[in-house]
Amino acid sequence: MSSSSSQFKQLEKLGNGTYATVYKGLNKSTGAFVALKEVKLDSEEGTPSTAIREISLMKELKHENIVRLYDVIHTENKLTLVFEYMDNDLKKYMDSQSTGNTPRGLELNLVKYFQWQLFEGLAFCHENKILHRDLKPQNLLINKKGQLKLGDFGLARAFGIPVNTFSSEVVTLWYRAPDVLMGSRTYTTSIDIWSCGCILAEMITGKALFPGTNDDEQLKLIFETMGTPSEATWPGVSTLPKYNPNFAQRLPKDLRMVLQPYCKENLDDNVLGLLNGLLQLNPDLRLSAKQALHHPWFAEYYQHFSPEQQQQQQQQQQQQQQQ
Amino acid sequence: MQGSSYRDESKPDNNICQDSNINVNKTSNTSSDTPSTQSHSTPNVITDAENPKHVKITLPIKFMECPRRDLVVLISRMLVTLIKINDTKANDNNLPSNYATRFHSRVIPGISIGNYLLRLTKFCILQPSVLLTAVYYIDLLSAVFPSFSFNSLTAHRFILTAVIVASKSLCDSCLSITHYAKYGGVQPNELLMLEAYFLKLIKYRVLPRDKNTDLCSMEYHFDTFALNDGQIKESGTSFSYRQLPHSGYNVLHMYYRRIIDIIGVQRPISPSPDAVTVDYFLMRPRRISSASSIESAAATPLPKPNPPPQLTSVGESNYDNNNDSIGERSNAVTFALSSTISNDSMSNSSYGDQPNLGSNIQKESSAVDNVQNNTTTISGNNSEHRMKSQHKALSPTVAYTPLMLTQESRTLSALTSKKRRLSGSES
Repeated sequence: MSSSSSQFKQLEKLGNGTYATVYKGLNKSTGAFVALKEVKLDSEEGTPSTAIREISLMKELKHENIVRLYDVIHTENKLTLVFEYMDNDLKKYMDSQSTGNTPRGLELNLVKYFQWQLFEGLAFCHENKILHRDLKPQNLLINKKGQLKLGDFGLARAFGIPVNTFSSEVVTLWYRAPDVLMGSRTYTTSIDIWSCGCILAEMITGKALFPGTNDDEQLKLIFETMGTPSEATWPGVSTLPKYNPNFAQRLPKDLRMVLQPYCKENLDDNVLGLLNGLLQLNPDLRLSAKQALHHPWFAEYYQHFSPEQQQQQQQQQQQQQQQ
Repeated sequence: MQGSSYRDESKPDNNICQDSNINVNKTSNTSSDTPSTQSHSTPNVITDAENPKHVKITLPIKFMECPRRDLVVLISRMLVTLIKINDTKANDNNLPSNYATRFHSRVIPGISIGNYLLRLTKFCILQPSVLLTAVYYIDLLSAVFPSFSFNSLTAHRFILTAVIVASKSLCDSCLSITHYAKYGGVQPNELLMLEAYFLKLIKYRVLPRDKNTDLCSMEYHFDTFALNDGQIKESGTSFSYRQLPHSGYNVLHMYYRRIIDIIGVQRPISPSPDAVTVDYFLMRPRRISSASSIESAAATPLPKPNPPPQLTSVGESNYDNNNDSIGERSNAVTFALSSTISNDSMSNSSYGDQPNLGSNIQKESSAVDNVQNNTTTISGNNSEHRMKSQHKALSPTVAYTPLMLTQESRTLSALTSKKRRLSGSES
């Protein structure tokens, strides 16, 4: 049955999405909370393409690590998307963990659990030929069970249908891959993998890995840590539209030296290895979401993968989160 | 930041130029997509020595590489054919004579659908995938909303709505509604209504993917926005694209091939001395390994192209034996095509400078304007009500009339299968 707007009671505002306002809502008939994303329909644009895409893509994506879209309510001048309710987003959660102005990373066990779920959801998107294109902590929603789900598919697109171009104006700057920053329009799933790398580092340290303020500075920050790419390390890089042969030449740094000062626990080789696989400058060398799920760092998940153990794990995480 | 990425309405021309340039770089050899580089002198065009009015064009296997001009001609032929069928069938549905959906114009617009599509392609820079998706939407909507019929009265408004929705769904940059309204000859506010109406009818299933039509029909069957697992199980349809080859993106390839198959070869009719006949053939796949995986796999079940010299006779017997309405229709097909070609706007050096065509269209579109301003009187409630009652009767396997490209079709797919048999027996 299709819902009508009278079925939901609108509660407090949860935040502003990329093109909409999100409210907490109560389904009056079931008593369950939902998230109501209100999209204004303006007379210039009609139904925003972001909304059309988000709806059409999320209808397809039924996965426990992707926020569910239950329904769409169309009224005269607005569109309301009814989503599964999530308690928090990863950004707010990390902020709540920091003490005063000092950023604090999450416990590595929790980082691993979140990152695993992120890859599970992303692998499902990619298998269904959908790019998210805006992965960042704000768009990763979490609930009290410690579940993490991908949300906000406003910039997402299907990539199996041939069209001339992909926009290079995608992904929030801090999480944007170097190939996209240099103007590549032929990117594919690797664009999301770079963002995953940035998110992993951010969960470990509590602060953004590459917090640039503009495209040039963003590239500079990336090269300072990951080294400046050359034709030798990344064949074809010099053909990218915004490649500059005069980029300051930097050597790659050891990620351990970069991250360890901000992390209380000892970073093992596995997590650093994974991070290196995700943050490859050359998009062709980046791991896929599926490969990442098989990385040794996640051994405990894929080696003992029975439902009971998974449940146990969740409970553990839940406890950790509550502490 | 995100906001700006999709909507560069202030400078659509820049976007388009960029798009075209990129495309030139990406698509390689014989044919490129940019209108400015197009001419009929490419090697894949053969003019019959005995009959210079008979042109044979071989089209690339990938629709992305199909010259836009040719694709538009093909699609207009397809639309004209479809309109003819549905116009003659109009009385079969037992609908009241004053029955109208929101796509209905009050009277038949003065601009032919071929010219209208040409105009939209030219001024709204429609990509090949958008054009094919618009054709796909005809079938999608017909499947879930059986009282919709793509005919002379609905064609223009439907196509305009379809290309807007397809552009928004598939392309990263798209034009404003006011732009489409200006060149489509429909008031912006009405266009907004049509867009929302269409999206609602197809339940936002805008992506041309395999199973999309089935899933949409199922959602109607269960009267739900999104199917739950139980419903999917009950219907026995696999929902995940994981199991589908190429994750379910063969639809547009299939449409491209079938359109060429169905109406690529024009049936010669009492030729007027000036009429130019253009026949289209799909290029044979050269080496499978040379094509990308999707393309090659999509191209494997390709029927053998008909040998050109025998076309006339094959075409004749087919059309005549199969369906009388097609025989009647052929005049319109040729007319649409010959007017397209005499206007010659697509094959000229540039899309932009067509003073004659432009002024013609200006007149015609103002006629469209006049016509369509009047259609606001169509009662929305009425059609909603009908829609509901129709859908209750709808089971996923119900046969719907106006189709030609889905399995349920009786007219044109029967035609193709016969044609295949014929061409098979001859070769």
